[in-house]
Amino acid sequence: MMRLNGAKLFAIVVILFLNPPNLIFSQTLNLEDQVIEYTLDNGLKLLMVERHEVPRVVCHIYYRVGSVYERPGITGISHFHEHMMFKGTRVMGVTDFEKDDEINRQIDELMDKIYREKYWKKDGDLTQVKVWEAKVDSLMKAEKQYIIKDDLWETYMKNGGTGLNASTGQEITGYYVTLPSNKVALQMWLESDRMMNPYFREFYSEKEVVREERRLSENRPGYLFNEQLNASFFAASPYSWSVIGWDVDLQKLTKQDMIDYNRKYYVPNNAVAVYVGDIHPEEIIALAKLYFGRVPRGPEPEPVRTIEPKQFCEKRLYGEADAPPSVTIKYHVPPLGHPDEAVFEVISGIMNGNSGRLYKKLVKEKGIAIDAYGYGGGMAYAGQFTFGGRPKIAAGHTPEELEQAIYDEIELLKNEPVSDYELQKVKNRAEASFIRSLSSTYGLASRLGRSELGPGWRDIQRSLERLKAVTSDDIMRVAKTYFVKDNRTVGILVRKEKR
Amino acid sequence: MSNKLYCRVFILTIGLAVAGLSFGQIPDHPSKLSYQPLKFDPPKPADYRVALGNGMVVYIKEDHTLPIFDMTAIIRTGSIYDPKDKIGLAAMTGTVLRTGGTKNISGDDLDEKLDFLGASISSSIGRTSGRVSLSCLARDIDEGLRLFADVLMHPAFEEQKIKLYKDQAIDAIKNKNDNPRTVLEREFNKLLYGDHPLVWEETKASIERISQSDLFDFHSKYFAPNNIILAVAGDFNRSEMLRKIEDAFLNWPKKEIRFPKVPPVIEKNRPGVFMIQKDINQGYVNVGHFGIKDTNPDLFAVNLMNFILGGGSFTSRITSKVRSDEGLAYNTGSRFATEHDFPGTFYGYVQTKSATVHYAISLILNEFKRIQKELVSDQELETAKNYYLDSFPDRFSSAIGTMISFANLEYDGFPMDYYDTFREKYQAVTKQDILRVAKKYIKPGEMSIFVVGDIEKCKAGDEKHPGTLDQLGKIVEIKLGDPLAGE
Repeated sequence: MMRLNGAKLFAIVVILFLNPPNLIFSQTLNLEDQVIEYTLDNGLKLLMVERHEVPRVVCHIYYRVGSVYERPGITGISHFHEHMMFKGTRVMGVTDFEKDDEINRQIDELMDKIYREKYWKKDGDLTQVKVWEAKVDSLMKAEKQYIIKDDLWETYMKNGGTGLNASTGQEITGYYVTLPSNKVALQMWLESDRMMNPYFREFYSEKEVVREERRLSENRPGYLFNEQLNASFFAASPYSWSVIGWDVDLQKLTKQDMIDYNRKYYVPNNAVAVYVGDIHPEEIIALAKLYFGRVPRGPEPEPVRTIEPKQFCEKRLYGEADAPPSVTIKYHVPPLGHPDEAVFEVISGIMNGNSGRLYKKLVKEKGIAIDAYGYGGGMAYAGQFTFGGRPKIAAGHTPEELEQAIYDEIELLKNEPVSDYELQKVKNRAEASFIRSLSSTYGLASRLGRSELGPGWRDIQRSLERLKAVTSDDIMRVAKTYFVKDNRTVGILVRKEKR
Repeated sequence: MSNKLYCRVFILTIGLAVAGLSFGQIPDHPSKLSYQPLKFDPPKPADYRVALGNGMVVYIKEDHTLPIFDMTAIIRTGSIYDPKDKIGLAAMTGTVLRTGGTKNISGDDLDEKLDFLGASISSSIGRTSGRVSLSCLARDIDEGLRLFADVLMHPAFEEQKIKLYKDQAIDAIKNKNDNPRTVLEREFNKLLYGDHPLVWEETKASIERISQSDLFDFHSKYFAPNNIILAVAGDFNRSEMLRKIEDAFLNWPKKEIRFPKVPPVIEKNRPGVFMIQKDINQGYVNVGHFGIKDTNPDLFAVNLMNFILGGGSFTSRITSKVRSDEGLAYNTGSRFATEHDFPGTFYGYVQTKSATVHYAISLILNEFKRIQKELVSDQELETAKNYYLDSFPDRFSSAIGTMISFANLEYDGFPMDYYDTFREKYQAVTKQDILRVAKKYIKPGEMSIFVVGDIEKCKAGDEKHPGTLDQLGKIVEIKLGDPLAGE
């Protein structure tokens, strides 16, 4: 009875803001009216949005961890950890934990010896290594009888889990599944288990999978050059390495590195769980208290210490690859939360799109480029704004010529006020794309979770308001401040000559 | 908000007790969780279908979740109708339709206008269909619809935008041997389909031969209301919207469409080991042959079989063996790729370091043979079926997505009760059916083993898993020609 009243009350609120009489749309779409927030005692934050079109729920969980929390020597560990989270726990993926654990201890001990011999010593005893490796092989074979392959994945799938995946970025790691709305408890069971009972089974074979993943990236045209460009752009900050990490670090990562890293960052007070779909928030909260509530709070992880120092000279890189010629120009800009954040968004808007300045002038009018772009902004601890494009080689245009043409456009930004029309166009596009972004339940869940672990989910809407307040003076000031020679790194890539 | 929520949480405890849910207890294994039953009836296409006087079919749904509007026109056409000396004509028409402006507005002005509204119109023509889509805010429905109809009916195909398209297309041709993955897909399909419009490749010469009048001809051949299915959803009143759509296309006459005859695909498998040299650190591998058409009544059984074999991500046998057990690859699995009205392909795939190419292929071949010999387990079949059945409502999670899937059903000539019978069809599949379709559609003796990679290193294998590629068949090296010339 009383529950019915509660539901009714909420239904009325929903109707009120979805069918407003003659209101401007921007006033009706208030995220704050749609998102319900709740924090458990252990610090895990819940964000919920009701969408009742189909009986499905998008369930995402995000941790504030990624490659910027790594250090030289353990680069790539966040992403590797993401893989390991699918290899079972102390409960899942194993028939007899005690026996499996005993074998794993022996494997780890041997692998530590092997790593020392192979990677720590200049002239390690490789004959001895072979003996140990053979032992490891037979132990791994013996372990197989206790392993239930991909137990977590199969459990999700046989319960209708779709969109099943995970991803690791520079600052955030996310685990995703979409389930029938009557099965949210399954996600809570499995995710709280992963949070509470991690166990890094099949560590060494999964490391090879990650190394294969890195090889795949390396085979993408231009990947290695871009990786170098990024590494050169950031001198000190951990944004200088890629999420997948350096292969030399991956090779040497140990099980203990993984355990230590897990304890530090994968705690409820460093995470947010998001539910968008056919849900009743009260039920989600009750379930979350039960399942996630049992996971103990961890120590608060320390933020990244190293802040990128000021660059004092232009850096340039030239490279060759099996890839089309291109130019990339990166400028350092402040991290998220800086007052200039919105100005960079507006500049992105002015530069990009079919009617944006770069495509319009360099591709459509001058015909010197195949494509051209300029976008960027802040990340949590640093920022970059990147211009670039591909010159039209067939018509005799070079990367350097395109580079100069981009500088000409940057000079215009510094010296001529952007018209009211152009400014309004950017603001309209931003508003429309904000509204559209709410239409995908998956996209909404992702945006909420990621923002929450950065500036907070309420910032999604505030950032739109800030963007609307940007003036043409702001743009000139910001362009003059940041888009200067000593603050940039330029990469020019040309096609490798056939040998 | 927080106050209200507090109150609702309090209410809940009572509500749940009444509902008899067993909160407060966590089972020691997820298999012990029990769930409330869930009922879902798929929406029926007939409830959303309207045929206009000019022959255009419309699937339309009101959806007031957000103040937005979406529509997609599906046009019966495709690059399979390209003339052989003008390969690339359909694709060019598809793109320049939108970029090249209309009789009433230039391409540049259209770009400006749409950007100012925060709207978009996009257009493309693929192998067996064409699409034009509009997305805008609800307050701009009238303007959006007007521009959308204008693009469909009165394209101008400006010369300047044709030139821009050609420059970009030729640039893309130049780069098309850079990515090993796309090289593999393209060359594997070419090997099987041979000289067929489905796999024809545009060249610099074929692009340059295409003129503005070719685009106009192609457009007038296929763009007519009776050759279009429209999917519409958004924040509007249905009958009012239908009237607007009718008005927008009022003066567009019906016409008889003559489709050129497309030669049938000659299904001849090409067993052997085919290799393309590329200076990279992995071998990119496809192992397979011709597959099935999407209209094949065995499709449901084949989907389940392939899910178990290599299509069901981590739960599948190939992934479990090649990736999880052996750590040989990040990407591996199997696929039945279908192309409407044409036979598709079946293949296992893997990308692995050069030294383990042979070993990974042999593991995949073993799984092909195994699924043809033994019945799958009850658990495997249950997982596969549950996956398809439980995730079924996902297909209807967005209003425009649902309308487009109905439009696609009609376009492809599937029965309109397709979704009503969908669950029964999956439910009816037995272990014996899986074995039967595995035997019927997988032909281990006719596999084309296709590898893009560093040939000598891939051939050599590694000492841990002895074996060489030539044991799998005669090695034929395929040379990548100059893409611009298409040779």
